Amino acid sequence: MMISSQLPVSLSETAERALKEIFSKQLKLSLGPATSSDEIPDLKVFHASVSITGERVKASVLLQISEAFAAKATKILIGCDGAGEEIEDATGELCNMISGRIKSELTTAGFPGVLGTPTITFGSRIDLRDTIGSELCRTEWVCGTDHINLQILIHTQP
Amino acid sequence: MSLPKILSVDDSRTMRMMVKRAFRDFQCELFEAADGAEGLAAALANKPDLIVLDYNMPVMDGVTMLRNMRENADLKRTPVIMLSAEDSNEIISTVARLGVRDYIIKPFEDENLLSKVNRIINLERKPETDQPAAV
Repeated sequence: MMISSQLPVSLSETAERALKEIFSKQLKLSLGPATSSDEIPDLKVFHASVSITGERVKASVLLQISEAFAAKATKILIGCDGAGEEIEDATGELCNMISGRIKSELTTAGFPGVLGTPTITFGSRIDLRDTIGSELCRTEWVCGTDHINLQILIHTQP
Repeated sequence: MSLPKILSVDDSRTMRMMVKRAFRDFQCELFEAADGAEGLAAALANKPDLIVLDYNMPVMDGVTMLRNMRENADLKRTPVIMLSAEDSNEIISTVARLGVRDYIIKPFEDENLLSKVNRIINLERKPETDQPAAV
């Protein structure tokens, strides 16, 4: 029997479900897809990245949010204004939770893996690039006036 | 009467602050540790009544900390609730075999954590502080 390396799930739908679940349950915020009229602001952003690694899967989940939104999310999560490392840590934790939901769907689809620990950097927006044999999903969201970018780069094996 | 002691072990400061916030209205003594090795040392030093433990941490992960606890006469019966973004059946089965009392998958709500904690230790609300009289 041939075992397919094809993902039986839509990555963009997986990203949407994961993002919406974490935003609604943990941040109590709603978000919707960005439209073509929503300009992506040319701001420096926090990049939080978490890996998912298994025998049949290697994936990176990248969450990019503005400094202002990161500060807002931190305040919601910890109940007071955060600063510096607290904002970085909260951004990493958000990405960790989103990655956990994505990992769960990949596991259900037959691609189990384990989560890595979040890495957080700050700078200009990053666009992941796909390579041969990988699948890339870039999604853009709007939460109030804030832009949220979530990307998944995944490489699967039979 | 001594207050119940709770140890929160998570490498994310955010998560430790969220756990702390969940218990803010209750009478308890809360300790924190940022990984399994620190958690083990804090557990040995403070003998908590309950540990809220993450799975995925640098230095020493939650399962290794649990295994070490179960081999220690002072800690082998300490109740543990896992609080993690990991939801794989394999990990849940492993920690269940190590005697974990409950497992909460992130995202979590305070009420969910508190209700699971209350099944293990009796949390009492802090007395309401006197409000200044309105002028």
